Amino acid sequence: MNVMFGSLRTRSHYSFLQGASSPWELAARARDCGHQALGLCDRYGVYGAVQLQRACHHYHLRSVIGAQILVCHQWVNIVARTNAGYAALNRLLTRLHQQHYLDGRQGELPSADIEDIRSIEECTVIVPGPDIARQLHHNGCRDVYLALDHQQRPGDHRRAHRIIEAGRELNIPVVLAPEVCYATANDYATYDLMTCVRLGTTIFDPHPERPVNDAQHLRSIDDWLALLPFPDAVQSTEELIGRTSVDLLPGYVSAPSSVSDADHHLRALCMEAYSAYVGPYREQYHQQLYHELRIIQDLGLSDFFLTVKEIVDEAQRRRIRYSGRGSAANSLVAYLLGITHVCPIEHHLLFERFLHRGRKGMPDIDVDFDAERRQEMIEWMEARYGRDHTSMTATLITYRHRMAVQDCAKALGWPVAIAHQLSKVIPGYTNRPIAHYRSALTAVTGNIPLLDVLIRSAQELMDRPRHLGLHSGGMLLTARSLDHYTPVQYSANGVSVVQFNKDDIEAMGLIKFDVLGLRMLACISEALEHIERHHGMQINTETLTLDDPAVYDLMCSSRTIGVFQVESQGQMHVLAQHQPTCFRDLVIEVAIFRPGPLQSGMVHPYIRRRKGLEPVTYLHPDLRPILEDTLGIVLFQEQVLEIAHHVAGMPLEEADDFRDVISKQRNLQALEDMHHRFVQGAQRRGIAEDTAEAIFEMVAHFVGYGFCKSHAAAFARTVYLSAWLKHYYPAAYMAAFMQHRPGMYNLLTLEQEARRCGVEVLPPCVVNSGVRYELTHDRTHDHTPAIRKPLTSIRGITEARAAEIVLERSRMPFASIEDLVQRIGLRQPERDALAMSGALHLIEDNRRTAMWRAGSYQRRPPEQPQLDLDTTSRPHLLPHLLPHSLPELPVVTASEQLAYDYRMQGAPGYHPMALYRRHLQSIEVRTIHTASAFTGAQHHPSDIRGNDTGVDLTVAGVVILRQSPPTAHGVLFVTLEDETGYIQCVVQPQERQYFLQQLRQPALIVRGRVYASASWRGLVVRDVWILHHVLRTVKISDLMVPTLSLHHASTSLTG
Amino acid sequence: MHLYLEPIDVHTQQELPITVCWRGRLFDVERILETWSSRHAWWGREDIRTYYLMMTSRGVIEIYSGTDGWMLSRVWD
Repeated sequence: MNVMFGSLRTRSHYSFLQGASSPWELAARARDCGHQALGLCDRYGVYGAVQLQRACHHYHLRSVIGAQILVCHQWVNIVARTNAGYAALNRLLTRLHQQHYLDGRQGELPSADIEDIRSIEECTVIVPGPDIARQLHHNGCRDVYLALDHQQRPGDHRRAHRIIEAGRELNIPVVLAPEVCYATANDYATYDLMTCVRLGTTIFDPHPERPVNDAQHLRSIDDWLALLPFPDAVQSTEELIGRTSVDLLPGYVSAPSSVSDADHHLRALCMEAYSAYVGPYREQYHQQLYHELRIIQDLGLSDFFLTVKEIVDEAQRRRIRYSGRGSAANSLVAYLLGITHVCPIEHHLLFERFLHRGRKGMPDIDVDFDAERRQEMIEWMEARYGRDHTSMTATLITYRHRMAVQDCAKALGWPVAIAHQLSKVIPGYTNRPIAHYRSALTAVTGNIPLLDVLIRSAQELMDRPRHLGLHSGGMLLTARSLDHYTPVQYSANGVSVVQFNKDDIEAMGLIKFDVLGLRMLACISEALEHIERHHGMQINTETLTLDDPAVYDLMCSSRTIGVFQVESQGQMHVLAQHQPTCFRDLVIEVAIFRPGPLQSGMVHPYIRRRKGLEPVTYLHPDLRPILEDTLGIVLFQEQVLEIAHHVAGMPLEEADDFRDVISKQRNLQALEDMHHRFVQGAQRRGIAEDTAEAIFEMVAHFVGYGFCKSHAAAFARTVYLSAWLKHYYPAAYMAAFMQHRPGMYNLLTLEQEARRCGVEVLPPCVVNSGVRYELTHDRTHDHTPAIRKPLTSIRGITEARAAEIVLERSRMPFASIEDLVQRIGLRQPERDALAMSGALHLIEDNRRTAMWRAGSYQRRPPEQPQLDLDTTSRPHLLPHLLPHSLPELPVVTASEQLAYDYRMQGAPGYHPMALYRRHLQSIEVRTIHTASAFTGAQHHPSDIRGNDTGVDLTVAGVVILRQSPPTAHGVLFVTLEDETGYIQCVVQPQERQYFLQQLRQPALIVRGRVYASASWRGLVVRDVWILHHVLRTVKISDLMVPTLSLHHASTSLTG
Repeated sequence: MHLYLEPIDVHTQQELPITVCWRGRLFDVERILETWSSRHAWWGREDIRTYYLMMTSRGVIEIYSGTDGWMLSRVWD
């Protein structure tokens, strides 16, 4: 039959485990079946609509967009006939999702009612049975169709006949529209497995929702007619499809707001900023500005830039710190508009990485805001552009290896613990097929046939959407109301989110603006406030020149705990080797310690070249201008793009694709295609094949995520600011840092770091502490203030409670613990927390007495009469304790105080290792600081780890960091800290395996070879002991008289 | 109605049963009332069946064709 036929009731994998094929797979199958259209109706959403339209366009099919929702508790398909119908459908879906959220997101999404269906315009309703058809028909709903279905179940034939009869009786057209859940019969197993995952059952358990056969796949019209011999229904289907026309891919960009003559306005703003510029690059500015403005105008993006400008202007007006980052920092226009803060001319940034005429889709402009005030910006944007014009972008959480294996294993009947174990044997980031890990999986399950099923099934799940997530910051801004484009639903936190990810939004010609929260910016803002308050200085970070040698000295000496991006032990090590002395070095520093350069093994060659240990060479002279800044090494995404463009002769559009494929390395076929095109292109430009292959190899190693230079430059500026603040105002900076915790270290280490910077850290106190970390001059006699920990640093004291205490004491100081408890109305756990943490020490200096008094206090409501001390009359109450009835209690010991501080504040007033020091010294365990005395002999060029000092050292410490990045190939990095400092311990795979149990402990004694690199010291571990095993026979009080009995599997500590 | 699950001989025409032989008795198919299918245990020894509910010369019977060949499922007697 030659008609415009298509499946109308198709569910894709965008129904989240209720459909097993992608729109592309369905469209390909529809074409193979001879269909001319494909209708997608996912459950409660149009998540797959953009992909459907792209797939249908590719396969020359007409796309039909709809959704499947419950109406009066029956699944009904609603198909949009026009763009207005699509908007009406979106409004209905939004309302249902909203209701679901307001209902507490319990159970299934809510059912729509008849009125919803009657009022929906420009849509067609396809119902599965006579009852719901009758209900809708009798309530005046128009455009209702009955769907003929046959899923080869008993009774389907009779049901089909009843549909035909009902159609005749009600005068409702009947369409041939079997429900389809996957493309081919072979996908049935995946669909069944998905169903089991969704229902939380196993494949061995029956469930009414599980499919009984493979009938729900796409078939040719003849195959369906063989089951449902009703040609009239085919004609009705054709008519219905002929009436639908929705286009979501306009092929142009819809700017979020429309300024009349935006091009002119943007040009005027840029020229104004340019006129004010007095630096040395005036001529370059002029040329670049005109170049960029032409491209921006040609691509119709002036409105977009003006919108972002409006947003950052508002942030400035509110004094909210922000920083433009990402590839947008390549743009001079963005810089002149104040969106980014790094001059692209000065730092040789490549605009084409951000924007070029051939660019597919929209450019990203990412702006980090002070994390504490990001929400304020989002609320302003919602108010400014309207709530129905703003929403967060979605992220489709798709199956990756671990999640696929875990879900499949559970559905295949393995216990949860085993399923978890199975998932863990696969690396977190890998592009290999799951079958590659068969031997590791076999080690867990044994070699059983079900393992093959697991591997096969998990592979089938890969890359399929599991659930909808929230993009970290992508905010959609639309000129027309959102319902023209997408339904809106709500995250668990009540954040509105659209049903499309950033790629689909881009395809729709819409603009996403990344509003990201960066805690480091909040930290910098607060540090500047402290400086203003306590030092009386207003610092304008915009005017800092980024060239202060003292700041670079701080970084070269690896004292970077708390410094943005370079505080990890690995970064400290690279800093020590790299020895950055200028901002350009810092940009490289930020970029070099990334998975891309690390995996491609480019870090060590760069360092060696920088130190002059090996010559700077280029595979071809054409590479020199591209790689000169990085000494012939590929470190930035821009360089990959430039190599593709200049060496292989790819146009910028293709070069950008090349960069994308090389960076992600997920599509092996695309990678191979690019390889071929690259080598051919290079040969056409006269480069020998083997050289072209070598260049490709070099570039192809740039795997994983490397930074673009502009992003590294934007981050490097924040690195510099944080280091500058730490160097010149350590108290202000560390107080702000402890408040916002933008880094990776725990509070104990941060407090130790503050002390290493010469800043005293005072414990929380109900008399002096506030709600946030504050600076105080109470205990200091020089210019450096001390940090006063806030009441909120005590576990169990909320911000509201802390504020209450501060407010109440400003009215009148607390006279006693009882006075405090009574006036604030503290609950028992809060009383205990305050007393145990030592926060009451200015009211009661004996912490044990404070705990006793706080613990024994019984609050008496004012309206109640005084409690009778005679318990016989009120037997359920203990007698009230009066102050004079308190016993004389001993003061808390050092070890008790340590334990209390750990428990209540997360960090004691002094380092716990100090308590063990005398004992450790007696067994020749040295302080970590001792390592700094060893510098070693002449550096060996081949050993980039640093100098082998030839010294074996035994140290003890608390484990503050344990890292085993995939790039380290099984090496474990353990950072130990004692009261004198910290040191990175490198545990090679063999030792890691041998000392597996020991390395899991929180405090260790280790022995190993000291390596040195400038101020950095590392220990290559040979032996590991568990600290409390070594000290277990020793009581804290006995530390003065150590008695040690130490045994180890192969060696002893002293031996 | 009785459940049998016994092997049977079936003569087909265009893949549809026309005569069934069970325990030496012949059942001429007069009309196929309904067909349906089932597919189970895709993870192991897969069991795919096509069922036929038929009016025969000796009454209504249900047979299926599966991995083990033709089987008599149920007889309405």
